[in-house]
Amino acid sequence: MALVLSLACLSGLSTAQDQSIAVLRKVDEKTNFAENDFASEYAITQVKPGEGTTFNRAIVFRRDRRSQFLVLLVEPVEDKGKGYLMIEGGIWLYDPHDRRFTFTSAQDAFRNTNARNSDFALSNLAGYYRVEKTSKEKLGIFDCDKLDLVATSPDAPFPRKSIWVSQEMQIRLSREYSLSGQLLRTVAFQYQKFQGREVPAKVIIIDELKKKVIAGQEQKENTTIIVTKPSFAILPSELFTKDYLERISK
Amino acid sequence: MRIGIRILAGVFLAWMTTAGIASATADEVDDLFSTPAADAPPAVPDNGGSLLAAYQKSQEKIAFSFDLSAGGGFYAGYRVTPDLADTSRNFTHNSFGGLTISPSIDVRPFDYFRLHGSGTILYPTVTSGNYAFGASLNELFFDYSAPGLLALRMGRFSTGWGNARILGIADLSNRTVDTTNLDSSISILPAWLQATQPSLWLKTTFPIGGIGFTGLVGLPANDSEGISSLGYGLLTELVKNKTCVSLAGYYKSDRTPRLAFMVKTSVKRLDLFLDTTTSFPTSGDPLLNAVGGLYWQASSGPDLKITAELKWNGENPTGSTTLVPDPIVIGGLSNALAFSWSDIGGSALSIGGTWYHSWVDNSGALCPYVDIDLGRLASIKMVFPWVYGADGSLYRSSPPGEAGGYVFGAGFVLALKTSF
Repeated sequence: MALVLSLACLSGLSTAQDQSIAVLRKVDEKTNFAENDFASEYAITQVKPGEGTTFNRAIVFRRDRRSQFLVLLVEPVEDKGKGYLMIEGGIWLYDPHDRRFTFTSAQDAFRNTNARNSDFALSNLAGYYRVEKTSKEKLGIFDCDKLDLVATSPDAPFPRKSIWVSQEMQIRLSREYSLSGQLLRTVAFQYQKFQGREVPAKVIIIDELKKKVIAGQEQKENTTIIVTKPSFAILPSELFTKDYLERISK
Repeated sequence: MRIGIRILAGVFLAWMTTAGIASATADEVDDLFSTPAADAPPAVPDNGGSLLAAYQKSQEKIAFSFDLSAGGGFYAGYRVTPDLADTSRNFTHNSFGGLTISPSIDVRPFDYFRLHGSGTILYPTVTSGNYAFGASLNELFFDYSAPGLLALRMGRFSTGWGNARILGIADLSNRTVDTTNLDSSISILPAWLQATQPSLWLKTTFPIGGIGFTGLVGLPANDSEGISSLGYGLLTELVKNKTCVSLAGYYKSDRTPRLAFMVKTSVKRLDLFLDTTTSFPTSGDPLLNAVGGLYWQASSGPDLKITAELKWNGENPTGSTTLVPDPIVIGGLSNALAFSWSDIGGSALSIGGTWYHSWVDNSGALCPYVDIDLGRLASIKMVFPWVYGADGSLYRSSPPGEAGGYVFGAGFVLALKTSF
């Protein structure tokens, strides 16, 4: 991939941009599940230094080809049945307590964890970013290309980000920055093989802004997501509707 | 010198980048890069089916659950404007408390059918004097999903339309039913956070293209009501990217017909919304109501939520002239502002409050609260209501529920709640 980018640099800027977009498209293709529906169970553990740990378990259903997802909470018990439904680019939150849907596009933190609602959605790096700079770095056993990205769309979740992409075109590490260059989040990924492709197995999200010094050591707030029971089975279309969420809930 | 500082800053930033994961989780992050992808265990070993099938299978055909809440508290203060020269005059208090058991049942014989019922057993039924058991049916409805994304729900359940939560005007259907408070949980909640009370409805939803349609029929609530008392409503919703546009209408023979237009979008992580309704009185011109508002929730840092709403109630513009028989009480221009800050600094302490104000007669209410979580099952809540304005003014006549009927005072409740 680095070779592709280097060649692109030699053959002119517009070609370089085209090649960069092509690379980002490849990464998007690897990240998304365009061919299949995807379902898995997410165990989400949030650690706030000095404050304790909170745990959520959710079932995530994705239909990336239509930019749809449904996140259905199953733990904690008191929140069982709450759901997040993304359809047509907007997110509906459903609370079975008052049987009411709330539409939002602004609340981006997932249940006050370090995960964002956009983390469950379709990856669109090619649509949101351009590659500003590339370099090679090794992350553990993975030879990676580091791509520094700058947002080209106001819909991009972060104004700037750097991603480390392994030879399999998988994102291994992502660092997300504010417009001023302040590091906001670090996200690290581990994958598992499932039915001929790699799907996330573990994701660690570190909030770089929320930190505390405890026993002389700086600790950052972080969220770990363990992804289990992946499935590519076809999901019914009604799953991505408000009625289904209302019916399947408590 | 400046260049030197820049170089030093650059070196520092480079060090920060490489050492950026210098936290308790650095080893865990490194571990992610130490092994290639392993094979995932099969999702559902017994049948190889989807997670959805497994989830549906895990839902019992018949499930019972019980919520138990108990507790008590008191309000103390003044139900009329306190006499500063004699503070003991008109000072009063009342206590409340009890035990409620809320059983519920879910029957799911097929994927496309569900029957749900819930009720409340309460002791005592009256806060003082009468120690009798009371029982009520909260919800009883069935869901049916037909092929083609058509869904049906019929029975007693709650509905809710509109974006504004405090000064809501667009919940057209609920303005035609008796929403006598049956919420038996022992707590002090802002009126706008209390769940809408269930009523008898037939609801069907179906998408056509990218537009969602919800049809609603209000069913007779008692024997004396016949077919002519049915209410008919339709809600359409179109979502495109960050914007949701809704159009709704509701008609019932003995109520004012109304149309509603609602839109909600977001700008820089701020939810913005506008709800408008047009009422059609039996004589005269249509009357307009509108609420504009915003909602913000911190995406990082403290767990802060803020919402603000500004309402024009044209059905009852002066607060005294009623041109339609069923207007919203607080007329003319009014506003509300609410905020909450939960788990302050990781503690069990939460604070918040709501400010209501009418610009027609400068009456209003301020209801700050303090919430202390005593573990998983218990909580203490304190509210300090202050309802201001002249006697007979809008908010003095219709104070928010959390004021407990007091003009100035304090409310305290200790609540225990568990589910099994």
